[in-house]
Amino acid sequence: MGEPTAPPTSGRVTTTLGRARTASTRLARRVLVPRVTSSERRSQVMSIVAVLALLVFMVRVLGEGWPKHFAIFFPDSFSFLNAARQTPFSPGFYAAERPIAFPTLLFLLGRSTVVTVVVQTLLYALAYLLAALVVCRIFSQRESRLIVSLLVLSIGIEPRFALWTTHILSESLGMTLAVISVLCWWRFSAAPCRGRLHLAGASTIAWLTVRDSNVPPWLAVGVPALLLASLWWRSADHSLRRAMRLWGVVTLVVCVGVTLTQSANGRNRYATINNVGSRVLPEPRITQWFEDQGMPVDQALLSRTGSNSFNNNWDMLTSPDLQTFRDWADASGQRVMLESYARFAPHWVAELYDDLPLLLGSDQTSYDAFGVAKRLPDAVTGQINGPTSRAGLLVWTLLSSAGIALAALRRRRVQAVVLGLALVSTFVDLYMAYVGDSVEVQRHMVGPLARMALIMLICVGVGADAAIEWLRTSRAARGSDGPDDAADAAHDADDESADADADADVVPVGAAT
Amino acid sequence: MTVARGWRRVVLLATVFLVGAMVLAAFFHNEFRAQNWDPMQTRVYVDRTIHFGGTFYENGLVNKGPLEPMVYRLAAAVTSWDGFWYAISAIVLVISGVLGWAASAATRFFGGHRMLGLAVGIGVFFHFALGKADYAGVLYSRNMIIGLYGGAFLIGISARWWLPGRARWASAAVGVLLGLGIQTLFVGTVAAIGVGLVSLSAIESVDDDDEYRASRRILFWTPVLAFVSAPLYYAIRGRFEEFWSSYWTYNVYQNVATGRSLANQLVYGRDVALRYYRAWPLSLLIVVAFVALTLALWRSMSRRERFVHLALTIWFVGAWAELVAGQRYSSHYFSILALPTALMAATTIGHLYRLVAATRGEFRSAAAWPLLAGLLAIASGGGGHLTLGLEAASSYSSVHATAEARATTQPGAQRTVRAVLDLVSRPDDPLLAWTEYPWTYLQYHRVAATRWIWKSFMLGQIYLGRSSPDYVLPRTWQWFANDMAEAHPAVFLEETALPLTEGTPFATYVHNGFEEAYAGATNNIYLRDDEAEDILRGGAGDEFTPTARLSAGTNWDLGAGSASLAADTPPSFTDAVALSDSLCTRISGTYLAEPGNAGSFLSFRFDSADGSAPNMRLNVVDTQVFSGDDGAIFDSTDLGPPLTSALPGDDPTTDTVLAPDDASTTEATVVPVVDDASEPTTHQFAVVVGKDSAAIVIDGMIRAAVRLTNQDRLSLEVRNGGVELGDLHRGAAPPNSGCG
Repeated sequence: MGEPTAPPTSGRVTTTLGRARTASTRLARRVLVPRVTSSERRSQVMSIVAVLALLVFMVRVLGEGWPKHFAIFFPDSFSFLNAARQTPFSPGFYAAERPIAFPTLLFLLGRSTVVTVVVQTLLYALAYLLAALVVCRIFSQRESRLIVSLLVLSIGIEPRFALWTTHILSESLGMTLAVISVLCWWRFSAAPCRGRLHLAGASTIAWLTVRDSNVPPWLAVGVPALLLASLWWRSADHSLRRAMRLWGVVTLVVCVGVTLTQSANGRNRYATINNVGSRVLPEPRITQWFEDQGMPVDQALLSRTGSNSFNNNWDMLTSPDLQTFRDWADASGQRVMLESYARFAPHWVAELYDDLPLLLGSDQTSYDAFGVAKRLPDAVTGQINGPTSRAGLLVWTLLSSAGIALAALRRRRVQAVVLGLALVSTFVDLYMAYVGDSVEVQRHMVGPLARMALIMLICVGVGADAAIEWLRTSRAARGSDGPDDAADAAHDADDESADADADADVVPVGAAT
Repeated sequence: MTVARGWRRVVLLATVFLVGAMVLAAFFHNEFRAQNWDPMQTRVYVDRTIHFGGTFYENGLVNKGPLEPMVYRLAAAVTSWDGFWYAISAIVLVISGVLGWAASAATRFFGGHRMLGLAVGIGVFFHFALGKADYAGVLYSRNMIIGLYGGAFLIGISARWWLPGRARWASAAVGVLLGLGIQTLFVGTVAAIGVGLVSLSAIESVDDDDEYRASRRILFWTPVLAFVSAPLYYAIRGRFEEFWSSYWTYNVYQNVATGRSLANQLVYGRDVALRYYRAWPLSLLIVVAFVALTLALWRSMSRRERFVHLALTIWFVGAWAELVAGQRYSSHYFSILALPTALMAATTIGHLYRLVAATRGEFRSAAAWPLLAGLLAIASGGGGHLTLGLEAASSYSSVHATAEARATTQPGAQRTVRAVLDLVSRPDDPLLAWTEYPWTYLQYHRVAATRWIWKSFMLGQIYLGRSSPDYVLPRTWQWFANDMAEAHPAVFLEETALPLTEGTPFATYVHNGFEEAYAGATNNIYLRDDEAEDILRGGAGDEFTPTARLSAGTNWDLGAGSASLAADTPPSFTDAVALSDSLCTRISGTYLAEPGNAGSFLSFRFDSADGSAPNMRLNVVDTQVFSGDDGAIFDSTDLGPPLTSALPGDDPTTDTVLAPDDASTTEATVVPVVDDASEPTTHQFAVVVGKDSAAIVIDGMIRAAVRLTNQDRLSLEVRNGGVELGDLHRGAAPPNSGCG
């Protein structure tokens, strides 16, 4: 931190206002500044503030139902508990009908509903606090630090995201790990080094194993990016490039593993049946294609047009006249369905486009069994912390792109590349969450939307940070705005040097700065 | 950052989290918990003082010093009516914090590690803020006293207060705190002397002779001045008689009314002490350990440490002396014992740490002790209040919303009384009540019309003592008359379980100026004669022609001053008669009731034109009259023997009088008498609608009343059997119903 701003000495000081300003500056010098200039003290105070914020968040989310009212009723919740019951010491655990991350958490916490709810709420809140901390560490300008960190926190306390911490479902852990993995990759991009790459890789694996729908975006964007960067990023250290290659391969293996185990247990049959009933059968052209790929189409199946596996007492799952269809769904049907996501991508994108207003604007109240929404602040108005409408999505995408471009122009090229890839992955994520299952689409979109909001906010924030820095530097260089700005610039420089000191373990990479 | 440092930081932050949760829970839970007997009583006095002015002693029987009502007055000054208890809860938090701090300072004074002191402080804070003891989480006068004494002890034991130049101020501060404590409860003098000894020992360390002597003088005289400030103030204001009557004379009554000799008091105290320590063996263990350590370490202790030990011993003995002298052992009183015991524990822990640390050195785990102490406090003290507090904190949205949520859970009888009160008076207006409870006034948002808020004061009934007219304070009835002249209450509320005692000036006052207007299961309401006239009989107003709510297709036959519906008309929620399109009115007339047939289910419905308000209802079902909404019945009364007993097949009762049970109240009303209960009977009715409530008067008495929220019109639904309304008039609302 720099010295406190010197009191103005011009003639204007003779006014009452000027005298008051001088007095307050003196007071700040004597009383406040000695306290806040101590980085240790500031860190302690911020830690305490963060802990108290964490406390308030947890009390608001969990207090009313604490400790006995977190009953589980979603069929999926029982499915997670069943998976956890197998324990990680059993091979069946890894091929159970749920990816392993959330069952592992349940196992570690003794399959206790209350403890799991508390722990996942704590982890969720800590992830967003960490996000605010990382924003403060990476951004160089205090305005962008303050605003973006507050907006990041506002995403975390949005009821439509926070309410999932009260359920024994993988949504909350999925959002938590998504935040952590995004932060790790961003932190890596801001100052690349092997340590941060390892953290990013590990957090990505955790994220991939919490929901199988996380695999496609990583497979489509993350793995190729890592492998290509390991080949083409000339300015990076050799060991770093080797580590990137390693993580590309490891995450690829994890993706394949998750896909295979989920295919093996046949859980995707439900999504396949749902999609056929409610999305394929209403479209003759797509139905024809599926029939060509081997789907047994008969009158019995056609009579289920518009249905899914939940309808009519699980009719599509139990009716004898659909046995052939179900056999197909258990076998090649899942692969055919996967192929159709690529084959009919334009069609599904158009469908997604039509449904976007509903999906983006959903407040998830139908899932708010424990009344979290009434205890948390309403979502920030004006879509300033992420898109909640189709127009908002367009604006945020444009702003994010502009932010990335600014970052690339203002000595943040690695960040621009990584954030650009993350942004692309959010759309893949969105698409896959939409097409993956026609039932409970809004629930499946929660994780991708939370991740998208965070990534877009970071993209815009990075751009804003770069723009403010550029403005401030050019003003300071011109020297036209007096000593205050120079002092500010010095202050920011001090902050950056403090961060640089903290990042002393970083392996310097030319392209990073 | 090293691993050890990182671990320390995580542990300390976890401690912040836990203590933060305690504070949060205590604040929101104690708002509810603090609404206890004596605190409510004090609030009633304070509300009265705010309304009528004057001193606290002119507005209630305050048998303690003025500090307690003053603190409550402060709470009222900084909050709204609904938010009052949040301020009290905040004060409870502050006092608990001071006590925890004092305990922490005691531990450190005797050599305890800073973290150990913090751990002890957290434990003591939890005990007084969220513990399971009845004195935890409340603000009785004794809680204030231990706050004062705890603060004085804290100053006395902290070296920094007694540095050169500060000792005089420290002495003055301690003196004021002790003086206020003694003034609040005179029997706490011995304990105060004990607390004062700690400061006296601190003064001994002052080197400057002038400062030393001045500090001693100040420490002696300030409590005396603080103590006498109250009688002096009231003497100067010319209200010494009221002060002395409550502060001294009533305490004398309380002392003699138990009828115990001194020996008997001591024996009783011994028995209570034995029972207490059987229930709280840990307290006994602490006291024994403290005494043992005092004896064992006496020779090795410094002079100041000896003083502190002596002070705690005197304080502890003084606390028991206070209890024995008071002759009453309510569970809330034991706070005065709990604090010296807690400080003994803190002292003992400090000594033990010093002994252990001298042999093995410092503990690396010290950073975790506060966290462990917090967890231990929750585990041993019971987490029930903590859980309730977190629940309250979680669901809290605003003071107003909390008040509204509580209003929705009010018992029906309470709703009825409040609704009737709102027809003749406004919130904070005087209410005359013959009661023994402080919440009678608070739950209706009224102030007590008389300073004698309980009947016991007027009948000479002493708490946990005997009753005698000798224990009625001198000038009680003169002051009562003064109060009545000043308050001119519109309502007298009688609890059916505590009927008005005849033969008292109170009863005479009621009989001479009030008329019974409502007879319920738990309360009887009497209205001042002019108010009763307005409500029960009122000005009829003009005859009017009701209209149908349906624009077309109504089955009602509507005419000038009449409305009828054929008995065979199917029930309809929509085909209702519009009686008024606004509140603040009085709809009167007659209705024809025929058992099981005509008029057997009338529903006077209050709703809003835009459908934004819930429906409130006053229903007449045969002889029963209900208040309620669409989902629940709040309260009900009966017009007389049920008409349905006279349905075909039953043996009809002859000469059934459809009048209230108390015939004395129906002199001015038409009392229909039927030879055969199955024959139609005409009843006079009036629906009296004020700004905030409405009541239905049938045959001269209020039968049901309901509070309104934002309803704005009145309709009549007939659910069963048709009806004939006649002589319909629309008049003005009562003058004090908020419609002015």
